[in-house]
This record gives sequence, structure tokens and C-alpha cells, in this order.
Amino acid sequence: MIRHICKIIWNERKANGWILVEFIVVFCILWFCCDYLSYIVRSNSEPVGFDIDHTYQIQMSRKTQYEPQEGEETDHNALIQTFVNRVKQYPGVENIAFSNAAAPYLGSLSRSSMQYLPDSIWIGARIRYVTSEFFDVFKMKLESGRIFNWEDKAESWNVIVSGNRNGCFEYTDEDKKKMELPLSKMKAFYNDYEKREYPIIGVVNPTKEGSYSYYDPGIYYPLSQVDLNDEIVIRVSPHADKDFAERFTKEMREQLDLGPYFLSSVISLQKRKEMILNYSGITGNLNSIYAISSFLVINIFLGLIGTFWYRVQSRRSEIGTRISMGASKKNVKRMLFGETLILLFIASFVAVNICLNIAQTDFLEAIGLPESQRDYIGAGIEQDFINYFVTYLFLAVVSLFAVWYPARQAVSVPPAEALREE
Amino acid sequence: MLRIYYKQAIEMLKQNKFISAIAVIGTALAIMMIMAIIVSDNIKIISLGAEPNRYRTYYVTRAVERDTVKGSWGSGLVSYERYRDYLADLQTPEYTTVTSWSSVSVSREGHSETLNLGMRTTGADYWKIYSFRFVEGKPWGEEEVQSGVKQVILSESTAREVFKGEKALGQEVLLNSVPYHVVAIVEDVSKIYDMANSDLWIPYSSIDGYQQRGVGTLLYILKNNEDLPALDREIREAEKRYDAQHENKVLTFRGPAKHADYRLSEQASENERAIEIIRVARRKSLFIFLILLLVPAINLSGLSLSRMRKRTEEIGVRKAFGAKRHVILIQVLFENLITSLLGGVIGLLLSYGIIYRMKHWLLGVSEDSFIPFNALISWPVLLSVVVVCILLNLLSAGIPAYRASRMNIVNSLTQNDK
Repeated sequence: MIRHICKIIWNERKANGWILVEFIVVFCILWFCCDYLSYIVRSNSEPVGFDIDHTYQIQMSRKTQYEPQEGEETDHNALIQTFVNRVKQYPGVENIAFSNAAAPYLGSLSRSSMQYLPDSIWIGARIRYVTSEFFDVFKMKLESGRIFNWEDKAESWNVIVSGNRNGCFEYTDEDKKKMELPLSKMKAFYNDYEKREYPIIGVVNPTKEGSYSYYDPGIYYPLSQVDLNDEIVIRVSPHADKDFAERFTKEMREQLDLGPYFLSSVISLQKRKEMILNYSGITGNLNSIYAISSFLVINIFLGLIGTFWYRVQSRRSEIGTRISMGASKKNVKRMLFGETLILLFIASFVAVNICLNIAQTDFLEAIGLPESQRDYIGAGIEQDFINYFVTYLFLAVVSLFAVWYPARQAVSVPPAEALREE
Repeated sequence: MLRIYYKQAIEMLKQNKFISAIAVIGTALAIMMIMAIIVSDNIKIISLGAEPNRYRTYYVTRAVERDTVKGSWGSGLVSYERYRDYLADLQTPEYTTVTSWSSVSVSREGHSETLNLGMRTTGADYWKIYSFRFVEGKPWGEEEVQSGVKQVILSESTAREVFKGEKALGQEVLLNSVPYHVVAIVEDVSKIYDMANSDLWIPYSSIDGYQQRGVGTLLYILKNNEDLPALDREIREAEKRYDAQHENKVLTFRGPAKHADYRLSEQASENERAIEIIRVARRKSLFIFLILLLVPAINLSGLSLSRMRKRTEEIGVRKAFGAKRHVILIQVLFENLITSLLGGVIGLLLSYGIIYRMKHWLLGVSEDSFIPFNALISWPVLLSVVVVCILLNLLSAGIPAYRASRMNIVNSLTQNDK
């Protein structure tokens, strides 16, 4: 059967050539679309490490002109305390945390290198300054050790850490090779500049900068001096979440007019996430991929339906002969379907080779197309197989749909009529 | 002659409605995608409405300072001092001005309601290079900017929102708790004009401590575009002057970039990197156009070839009666052009629908913003539809037409084309 179909394909090579070329081009593009989409899906399915549902950022601003009125509180700590009390008393507010370069989706970040003494290596990590409530606000999981307490803030130099995907810190050795150091092995960092040791007191779950980023090892320092310019984040109980931002802004504006500060905005972190997502171009990339994929699929569909329509018309007598010689309608249909699938298979074979070679080069980067970040999601060669099967299956379904109508037309002609046309 | 071709083409379309529909849909789809990109790109750069001078506007967006001793560098908006000392008084441009955008909380004395709105700071010449329709009042000039008076211009909808039907002109509003005097009301500006659009405007000098802050994006309007090298030279000289006055510092101003490029170039840390980013963007759109043209072309080529095979007899007869090769070639191309143009018109209309539905993605403006009609239909757009149609036609019918014209008369009469 397959040999027979191959023969037919060869005999119809002129018309098949066009379909084949189109299949190859479309297969290649869909392959890369699939690659990118699976990167998106897979990285989306892994938790970011911060639970941002029902969390809000409170932004305070400084007045440009401010002279303290008589009898007004000017003591910094008292001001902070008043602020915290008033926010906490607002119905629905569960917890409040201050942080610096720490909260997700707020757009500020800091990185630094720390020395690890036993091996005297430099470890790069994301640096965050947080109050102990930070871990509660974002519902982070403590994997071992403990969270900061009051003494940590004041005196000691204790830190909390989080690892990468494998629970390790990363560094590059002398040969510029990427190495990993398990967190469980580590006791303390050493800062050469300050000549001071930083004991590790706890390990929290790994975090990403955003859904589509990688697990970045992090070091959390206690935020010793809290200020209203810091990142202020609150967690709200779920039942109080509806219209929280507007309600809070309206009802608390006067209460939070504190000394030189005023309440400038309350934004949910979900909204912040959307803003960052828009800015990062991922939404745009996805839109483009959906648009291009649907365009290609519709084209393949139209191309196949048209070509097979002509083919079936010009082969009516052949099909008539087949049916009159005893082939069932089913057989004939199956033959046409088989032709399509084998064509697609030949095309996919060529296309895979092209794709794998392109993936080795900087071609996608050079023309600014969205690239999947395989190391972000820890994907290996299995991704190539996934891409192949998904693309092949997808195209096969679309092609069979396209051939179905002409095939039905072909077998519905009575064989006597088809034979007489000759 | 063309009329006969035209009639014949229409007959052909009618004869096999199924295949004709497929060809027209395929073409329309391709043109829809391509035109959606062209039209939305065109909206982003067209000199029209509130921004009639985009074609001769050049932008300086950032200043990057490198410390040659420490090896560190800092990048940010051009500060007021650098603007005043090095970039404000260039000789080449016709107008020089600055603008920046930020959000601001707007309220009124004695009212509890507060709005978060977009605020633009401007220089004096800003009002000369952009074309606003003033409902009442007039903008500030150079003197007001120099003196730093606290004046504000509101858009009509802002005035309505803040003053709720009261007369706004001459009243006071609080911007981040600082009182400003309303001196004018302008008609709303569509968000597709990214430098003109705002909810309210104030002189950049009215913000306290503006001397220590970034002044925003610098706008240079040239008399004509041939002055660009001169402008570039002046800016590079300004950098050199700065480096000479500041030991161990190397300053680079990002620009001058033309309107189509300045947003892309903003992302880069160095001028060379900016050029690379722009180049990559160009390559990307070229590649996408290629795909959008080639895939349908392959598709349609296959269809036309099959169609030609059915007509070998007719072509053989015409050739036997003396039709020259190029006549056959032109006829086939022309017939196909009818299909392409039909698809083109449908595609263009569909692309407007797409732009309208997806303006957030394609134009980067919010869903509720309006797009002026004349930004959608303009000569460049219509011209490019025709060009794309002809291109698609040549790509899709070129090979079939060539093959048809080369057919051997005897073979085609006996239908032995294989």
C-alpha cells in the first residue's frame, strides 16, 4: 500500500512539489512556534515562588513642599509605627511588610557577589532586603532553619537564602565553567570588604523574577531601617479583596497623610505583573505567534483543499477504475489520506533537519524572533521530540480535514460516469 | 484588449467558484496580515493631526556617562543642567524643546476626590511644533518657562472630570498637592500621538528642584532633513565639550534618532547597540513580510498551475492562431491580478477591522482610545496595497504564467503536457 502511494506521489510530483515546499516552510515555522509555546507553558506551570494573590503595593510619596506644622509628629520611628498601625487596622489587611529591591513585579532588583570561604569562591546572587513579615505576605515556604526575628534586625548579620532549580548556588570556576554549590552544605558567607561573616539561618523556596524567568539563587538580608519610601506590600484576606484598592485609597487617604508623606497609590501585584508582562514583550510575542500560526494553518488548509480538488478532478477516471475494479469507497479515501500523510512525513523529515540546524545558530536572535529559553525551564533534547510530534500531529489533523472534502467529492461520483469521461 | 482579459478573468472566476473562492480567500488573508502591519506601522510614524512634524523631528532620549578611571557608567534622562549647558542652544534646528511624561495625582482645594492622570512637562516651543486645538486660553512662552510659573493646560476631558461642568479656565488645581493655575483648555489628543498626548501639561520649570532632575526627551525640529548631519555634528561636539570640561568622563547623548527609531533606541545602553537593535528590528519585519508573502505565493502557485493545466488546450489554440509568448504571459498575469486585487480590497478592509480590535497590541494604545480616520487611509497605505497585490501576483502567478507561455503548441493541443 505504502509503496503504491509513493509511486502515485512520484507520478504527481509536479503538483506535489508545491505542496511539499509549503509543508516544509510551514513545518519549520510551526516547529519554532511550538518550541516557544512549550517554553511559555512549561515555565508558566512552575511556581514563581511568590504567592501574589490578594497582595497589594502601597506607594507613599513625599510632598515637594513641606513644613512641619506645630505639634506634628516628626520622629521617624513614631511615624512608621503610626503608619503600620493604621494600615493594619484597616478591615481585611492581614499583614504588612517592608522591603527593598525584593518584592516581585515592582521593577527594582539588585545583584551582588558574596564570598564563600571554605572554597574561597565568589557566588553571584539576587540580593533582597526584607522584614520578617515579607515571607508571610508572599506565603513563602521555609524549607529549613528559621525566619528573622527581632534580634536579627538589630544586631546580627544573619541571612536567609534560596537556591536555583536544583537547590544550589551558582558560580563560575577558573575555566569559566558553570558550577553549582548545594545550599545544604553551606553555613555562612564572608564579605571581604566588610571583613564580616554572614551566617545562614534559613532556606526558603526558590523564586523566579517572573513566570518566564529562571530560578535565581537569592540572599535575604533583614531590613534594619524601615522607611516609607521602601516597597510596602500588604496581604488582604480573600473576602475583603473586592475593589480593595479603590476602597482603601478613598477611605485611608486622609489617615495616611503623615508628615511629609502622602498616599499616592495602591496597586494590586497582579496588575503590576500584567504591566511587567506587557513591557517584557511576552504578550506581544504570544499574540504574534498565534497570529502567524493561524495564518499558516489556514494557508496550508486552503492550499491542500485546492490542490487535492484539482487532483481528484483530473484523476476521476482513475478513481472510477479503482471503484469499478472492486475498491471500496473507504479504500479510495484511505489512499488519498495516505498520500497526504506520506507527503507530510517526507516534508517533516526535511524540515526537522533544517530546524535543528537553525537552532544551533544565532539566526533567530539575529532577526529578533522570540526564542525559547531552554535552560530557564531545564529542558533538554526531549523538547525536540515534543516539538516534532506536536507539529506533525497538528499539521496532520489540519491536512486530513482539508483533504476530506475533495476525497468525498471523488468517491461520490458514480464509476460509470467517471469512466465515460475519458 | 485588457477589457477582454478582464471579462475572461471574471468568467474564469465564475466557472469554478470553489477554487476561485479559495484563491481570493488566500490572497485576502495574506494582504490582511501584511496591511495590518503596514497600516499600524504607518500610524506610528505618519506626520498628521497633532504631530504634523514627525518627519523632521529628531529625538535625544538619554545621556550615558562613562567614568574612564573607575570603569563605571550611569545612564538616565538628560539632566536639566546638561540640557541648558550643552544641548539647548544648537544652531541647526529650527525649534528645540523638551518634554517628559509622568503620572500625577490631581485634586482640588476643598474637594476630597483625587484622580491619577498623565502629566506632560514641556518647554515653550513644544506648543509650536505640535498642533493643538485650543478651546480657551493660550500656551506659555519662553518667559513663563524661564520664570517657572505654576501654570497648567488641561485637556477637555480632564477639565470635565476635575471641574464637573464648572468653568475651568482661571481656576486652581492641586498637582501632587501643589497649586497650579489653569491657563488653557485644549481638545483631547488621540493616544496614537505619543509625544502630544496627555491629560494635562505644565512647564518643566514649574516643578520644584527641576534643575537637579532629568528634563526628559529632547526634540529637535529641523528646517529640512538634509540638516541632520549638521545636527549630529553639533551634538557630538557638545559631547566633546563636556568631556573636556569633566576630567575622566566620557558622555554620550543617545540620538539624534528619527521618529520611527527613537523608542527602539531608548532600550540600548550605547549608540552602537541602538543601531544594532534597529537593524535587528528591520530584519525581523523583513523576515515576517517574506513569510507572509511566500507561503501564500507557494499556495497560489500550486493552484494556478493546476488551473493552467486545465487550460492548455485553449492556450494551444491561441498560440496556433499567432499569439506571442509575452501576450500569453501578460494575459495570465493580468487574469491573476484581478483575483489579487479582489483579495486585496477585502484584505485591506479586514486589516482595518483587525487594527481596530487589536489596537492595544498593534499600536500600543489602550482599548478605549480613538484612531483618527485619516490616519488609517492615506496615500502611502493605498499605494502599498497596490504594490503588495502586484508583488503577490508576480510571486504566485509568475511561474505558472511563464510555463504557460512556453508550452509547445502541438503538445498543448493534444493535451500532452507532461
